[in-house]
Amino acid sequence: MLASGLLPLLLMGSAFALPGLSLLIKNQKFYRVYALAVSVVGLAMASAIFLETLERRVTTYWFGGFRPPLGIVYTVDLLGAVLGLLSMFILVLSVAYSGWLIRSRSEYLYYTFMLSLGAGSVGCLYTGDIFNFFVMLEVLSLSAYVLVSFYRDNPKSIEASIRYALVGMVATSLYLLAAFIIYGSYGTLNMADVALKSRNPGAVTAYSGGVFGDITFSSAIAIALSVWTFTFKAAVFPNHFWLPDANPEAPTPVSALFVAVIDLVGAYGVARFLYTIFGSGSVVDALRRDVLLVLHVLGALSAVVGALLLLIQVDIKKFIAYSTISHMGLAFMALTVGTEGGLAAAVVQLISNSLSEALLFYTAGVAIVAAGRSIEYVGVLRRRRLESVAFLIGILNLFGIIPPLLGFWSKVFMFTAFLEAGYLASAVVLVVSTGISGIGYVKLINNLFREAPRTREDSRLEKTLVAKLVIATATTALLVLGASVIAFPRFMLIISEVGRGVADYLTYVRTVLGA
Amino acid sequence: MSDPVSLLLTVLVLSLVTNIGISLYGVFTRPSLVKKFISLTIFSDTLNSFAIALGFRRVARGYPSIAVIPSIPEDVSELRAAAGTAVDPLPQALVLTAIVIGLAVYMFLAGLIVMYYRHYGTTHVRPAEGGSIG
Repeated sequence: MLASGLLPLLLMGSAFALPGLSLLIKNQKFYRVYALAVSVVGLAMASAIFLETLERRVTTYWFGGFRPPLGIVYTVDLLGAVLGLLSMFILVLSVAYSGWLIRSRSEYLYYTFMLSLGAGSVGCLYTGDIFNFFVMLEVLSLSAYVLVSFYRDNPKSIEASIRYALVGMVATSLYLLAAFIIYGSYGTLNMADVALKSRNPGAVTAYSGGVFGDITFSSAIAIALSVWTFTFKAAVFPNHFWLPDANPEAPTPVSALFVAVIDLVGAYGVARFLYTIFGSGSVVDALRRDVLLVLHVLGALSAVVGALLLLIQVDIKKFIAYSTISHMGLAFMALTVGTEGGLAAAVVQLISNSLSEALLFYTAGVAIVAAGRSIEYVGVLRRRRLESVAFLIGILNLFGIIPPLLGFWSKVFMFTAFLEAGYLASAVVLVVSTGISGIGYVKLINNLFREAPRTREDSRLEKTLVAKLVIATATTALLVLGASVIAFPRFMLIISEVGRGVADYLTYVRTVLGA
Repeated sequence: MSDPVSLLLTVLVLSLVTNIGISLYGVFTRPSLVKKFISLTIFSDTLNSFAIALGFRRVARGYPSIAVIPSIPEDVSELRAAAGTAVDPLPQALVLTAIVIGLAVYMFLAGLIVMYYRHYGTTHVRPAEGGSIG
């Protein structure tokens, strides 16, 4: 489908046009409207891709008309379509929210990198080419490094960005090495082609030929290297250290994007590599099971460590960052169970987590402008009815024990998936980490109802219409999705179809390479 | 090991692996940001050299060559002969892309290190200890 190839190009092109336009147009309002318009068009395209994929399961687009495996091909399956829609939705909200929060002389640069961040994210989710995934990963990472250092007068932002960029560069380079190794042994970089040959080493594809050498060994190295990169991107223990470092120093709308745009790509990469490309039945199946088990344990550690560290945070942005680590750990546990139910639960967890962490950042952003970054100061939201209700809903959704909310359903699905797969200990870890992080969430709710010690004067606080709209939209999306789990059986069908689609490599290969 | 090509390839792979080890040691343990930066460039250059080495092909006689076809050939056999001894061009295209992306990231990182230096007057990762590293 043409839109899947056009969407990253649209975002990238409009991002690069912005510095040029800034020479002609000096009005800051123009940049805000421009970025919002582009991202809304992006959201519309992502929705169109989602609807198309819902009907056809897997859609492809060949760049330059070269038939796979020759050219770069964009292949969207349901997982990529759902996550791409989520990522574009949060991008629209964050761009709109930035229009309220960000006041700077270099606003056009801010929106340039905001849009290229979105381009990198959807590029990673839609691409069907292993090397193109690396390129998009770098677009995503570079934009993230730049946005973390956006407040460049603050030495802490510079430090956080340097640390993030140094380690991030090593991580993405390791993925590049994995891509080279895959090319060296499979003779192709097309995901569908590799998925075919990893199951049938005897297969010969037109133009790319057969495999070279010991593909079991080389695939094992490629899996090890690329999975390390994905755990880094998804901030899973022990590669979680950058998130609480970089996330609080970034501008608040960017912090809100971190979960939905960057961490998401890490989880997506694991699903794509360990289920579609080197999935069950491939030559590395035995190793894959071990890798899944290791990732499962790391996810469990991440969930518990994140929940424990969350309790001692005094900075609201660090608090939310550790909460993200804990919830990404849970998503990784569900992702690595190895069943379709587990994959579906992981997708629900990713959606619920992305929406509610973003919602928390948007509401906390108002509190940060009004008072400061301490978790004591969320009390200033008390006089703002919409913000405080939204904040409460976001917290309760993360806590995940109130039935109609999406966070509750994601925990129920994960719990059932663990029990069905016989992972009793994982079910216990889920309950324990919910309990531990619950203490922190209750403390935060308690702070919400206490009078805040001080408020600042800020002109932005008088005109909060845009922020209110963004917060209301995010809250509505969360509530509607939570309700549709019971109200619309079709919603659950789509989610379970996502889980089934990831492991269904045959449809994937047939659509891409089919005659 | 009597074959000189195999020997050279083994030496190449060993030296690349050693290089990766040394450069990662540099990135993670050197206290100066500039040294970390240099180690990082060595690291990614090593990976790129590895990719170039992937394009190497054993040919029956002599060494693989770059396929140069000056005029439009008469028939397919000439093309086939050229392709038979040519190195794989795809890894070179990949490396070109990776270098361009790397350039962007390194320029940005170098800019950040300059800003760090302006703030702290040193490039030591813990500015309080690193007065001597300029």
